This record gives sequence, structure tokens and C-alpha cells, in this order.
Amino acid sequence: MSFANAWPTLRAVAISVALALQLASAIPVRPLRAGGMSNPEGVRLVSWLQRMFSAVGVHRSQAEWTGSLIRASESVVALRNAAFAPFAPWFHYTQTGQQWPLFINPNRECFRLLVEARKPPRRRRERDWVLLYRAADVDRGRLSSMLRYRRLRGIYNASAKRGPHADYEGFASWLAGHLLAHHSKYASVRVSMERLAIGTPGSEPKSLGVEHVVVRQRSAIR
Amino acid sequence: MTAWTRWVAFWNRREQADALAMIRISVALVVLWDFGTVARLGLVRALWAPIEAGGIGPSTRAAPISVVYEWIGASAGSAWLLFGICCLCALSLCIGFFTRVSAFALCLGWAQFAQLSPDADRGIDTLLRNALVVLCCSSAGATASLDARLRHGRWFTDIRVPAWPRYVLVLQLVLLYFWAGLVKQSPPWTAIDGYSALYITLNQPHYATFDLSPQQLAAIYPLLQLATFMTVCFERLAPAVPVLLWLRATADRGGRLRELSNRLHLLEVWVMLGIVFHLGLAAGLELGMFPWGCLALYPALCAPETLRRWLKAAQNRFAPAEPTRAVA
Repeated sequence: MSFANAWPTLRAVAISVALALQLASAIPVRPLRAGGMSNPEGVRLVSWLQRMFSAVGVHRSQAEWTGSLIRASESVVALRNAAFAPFAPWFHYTQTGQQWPLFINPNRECFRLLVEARKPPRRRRERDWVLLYRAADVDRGRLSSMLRYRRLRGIYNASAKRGPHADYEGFASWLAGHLLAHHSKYASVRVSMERLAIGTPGSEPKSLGVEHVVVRQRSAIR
Repeated sequence: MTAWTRWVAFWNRREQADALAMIRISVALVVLWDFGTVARLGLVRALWAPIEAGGIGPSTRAAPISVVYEWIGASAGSAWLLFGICCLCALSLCIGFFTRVSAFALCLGWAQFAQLSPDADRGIDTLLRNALVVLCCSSAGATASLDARLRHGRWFTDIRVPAWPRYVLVLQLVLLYFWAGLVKQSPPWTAIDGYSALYITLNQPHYATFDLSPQQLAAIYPLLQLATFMTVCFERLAPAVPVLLWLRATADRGGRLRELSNRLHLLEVWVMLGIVFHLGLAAGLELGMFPWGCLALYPALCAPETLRRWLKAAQNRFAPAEPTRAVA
């Protein structure tokens, strides 16, 4: 058999392997956790399983089902990772994959970025922080187009549960440097996150206070 | 014919390169637009230079985390060089010059950006890198390209090329939507929290395009609930797309289900839902190139013959009418 004759078969084999690999890549990278299974969606899944199997005579408690699901997911994830190991360099150097957690959990608590600046404190009034930017509200520092850009938001947008990303401090330093370079009258910049609680339709989001406050002085900026 | 020979024959099919060329051009344009935005906002250094050179990301000169920084040194100049190479590759991909090499080089360069600033690399970047890997294995440069002009002396050709890259891109869209739909199990995406996901998202100041008042949001709340429900349905129905495409491609075989599916235009309904979904996202949320990047892959859902038929119909519709000759 010549190569030209064998090529369609070889190609079909290669595509099949690639598709299998991509499907395996879609398996979640983390197993289920007991904490996650106590969420409403976890409880719902377990109750579905319980009802479905009890209809065919398999009776198990919620805790038993939860334990089984966690153990099964641990095995599947371990198998996925083992199957993936030989192909890891490919996925590393191309940064490709099939994990698509797009807006999976819109949280009723979220953050709003605040950027403030302060002049050198000569007089009492100047010791107050001046609000330069509050997401979707105030934009005195002309930062909106930059800060709303998706890549930058990906760096600073903190998770309501897990807090800010690893580069949040670096972002605050960079933003302070950027602002102080463009506004010579300011001596320091404060970057923070206002926690908001989103209520029922018709109600204003409620502020729950300011967190993750980072202050950068002009003297400390490179 | 065994199942395996049918499988081999399926991946050995050939078709005109129009759909792949459209995907190639659309993907490249979306990437160029995104890179252009980075340059316009002056964020190249911030996003990808080492911390000591004014960058935000985790890369430092002491511990470079990307191959490019290891090879040519971690500096703002290296970030700009990498950015320039990626822009050139995207441009080259767009005009179809060294198409396969451009697609692969762009994918590798873009992956370096992902390593330099992981939080700045979003799902859409991964999706389009996946598409670039497929494009670099395809003959997407066989038409509407400089490659075609140089090789065949004309911009547009009728050369039949392997169809499998288009099929793989269809499967990519299916996997993207189905995965995204399947993991949307949290209360706001379900009846537990009254399908409130879009309402919540539009209340998040970092994402919402318009600063709608609580009264305005309350007024459109039922619509947002419906849109949330439709989003979940649209995404979870994605595995039906290959079946609908097959039913469409084999319309002449007959059968009640096939006829019903084609008569109800279920495929077109799903595609239109997708287009409306992405245009809605583009209008209501600040997601950058996400909606456009997804839509850039939609030509994969269309057979090249259909594209040509549409083009011809459009030409007939918009072509200037022949002037009537005066009879002497």
C-alpha cells in the first residue's frame, strides 16, 4: 500500500486521536468537593440521582451518593490527568484546551473598582482622597476605556468568594504609576474594591464596604 | 461498507475552501482588532512586560516564565517584539500569505502572552488559539488569499480542499457551547433563583455596558429571565447541531424526521439564536472580542455551496439593473 493510499486512513486515525484528546481535555480539571456538593445545585443533583435510582430499587442516602460522586470524580480526574501527561507540552506551548467556564456562577455579591488620589497633605482639605474612578459611574481620571478592557479587567476583577487575583497588587502599583505620571499634583493613589450586594429587581445594589485596599505613594513608585 | 471505512471516507471529503477562508479572515480581523485595542490603550508594556519594566504580570527578569523571555531576555522591548510578530502573523493570516505558517506562529506567539499574563488571557483567547491550530492544518488559504494569487494567478479559486477542518470547527463550537451550558448549574441559571443570571450580570459594574437604573432593570426583568432560559437551552442543545447538519446534507434521503427538521429550519433557528445571543452580549456587556470571536467561527456551520448560493443571490439583488437599450 502506497503512502497516498494509506493517507486517508492515517488522517482519520490522527483526527480520531485528536478528538478523543480534546474531549478528555473538556473533563473538569478539579474533582467535586464536599463543600461544592452542599450548594443548592449539588443538593439538587444528588436528589435527582436518589430519586432516579430509588425508582429502580437502589436505595442510598444523600451522604452515600455524595461520597460516591466525589470518589468517582476523583478517579475520572486522575485518569484524565494521567492520559494527558504525555501531551502536556503541546497544551503548554499552544495554550489550547477545552475548559469553558463562561459566566458559570454570576454571584449576587460582586466588586466595584474604586481609584482615588490624594495631593501632598499641606492643608487639611487636601488630605481627603479624590475619587477618580468608580466603575460604571465616575471617571475623572479618564481611565474608563482602559479599565473596562477585558484583559485588564481579568487582572483586577476580584471574585466575591476567593478575593483578588495574584496580580492585583501588581495592577495597583502599575495603575498608581500610570496616574502619578499623568497627574503631577497627586502624591498617592489608593486602589480598592467596593463589595456590592445585588438585590431583587427594583432595588439599588447595596454597598457592603470597601476591601482589598492598596495605597501607593509617589516616593515608592519606580 | 464498514463503520470504519465510512469514518475514513467522512474525514476524506473535499469541498471548496470558501467557508474556511471566511473563518480565516474573520478570526484574523478579530485578533487584529483586539491587538489594536491593546496598542491604542497603551497596554502592551503593562500586560506583558516584566514587573521591573513596568508590567503588571507575574514575569520578572529573575524568573522568566515564557520561552521568549528565556531566549531573548525579559524586557519591555521583548514584549513589543512579540506583540509586533503576533500582529504581523495576524495580518499575514488575514491576507492569506503563508497561511499555515502564519496561523501556527500566531498561535505560539499568543500562547506566550497567555504565559506572561495568565489572568489577562480569557476563554476567547483559548478558543481562537484552538481555531488557529485547526486553520494551520487546513487549506484555508486556498482562496481569497495572496497565496492563491501567487500560486494560481487569481485571488479566488474553485479548488476543492479537505473539508475535515470545517467539521472539526463545528465540533469545537458544539463542545464550547455544550460545556458552557452543562456547567451552568448554579442557582441564577436555574429556576432555583428564578433564571436571574443575566439580571445579576447586568448589575455588575465591571461588565454592564449601560448604567441602567434599578427601575429600568426591573422593567426588563421578565425579558432577562427569558433570555437566561434561552441561553441555557441554546447552549445545551448544541449537540443537536451535527445531527441537524447531517439531516440537511442528506435531505434527498427523505424520512419524516428529516423532512420535519428541514421544513422547520431547526438548524437556522439554532444559528439565529446564536447570532442574537452574541449580538446581545456585544451590546449589553463589555466582553471585548468574545462575541465577535465566537461569531468568527460561525461560517463553519455553512457548507461552501450554500455560501456561494447566498453570495450569488446577494449579487443578483444588489447588482445594478441592465440599462434598457433604446430601440432605434
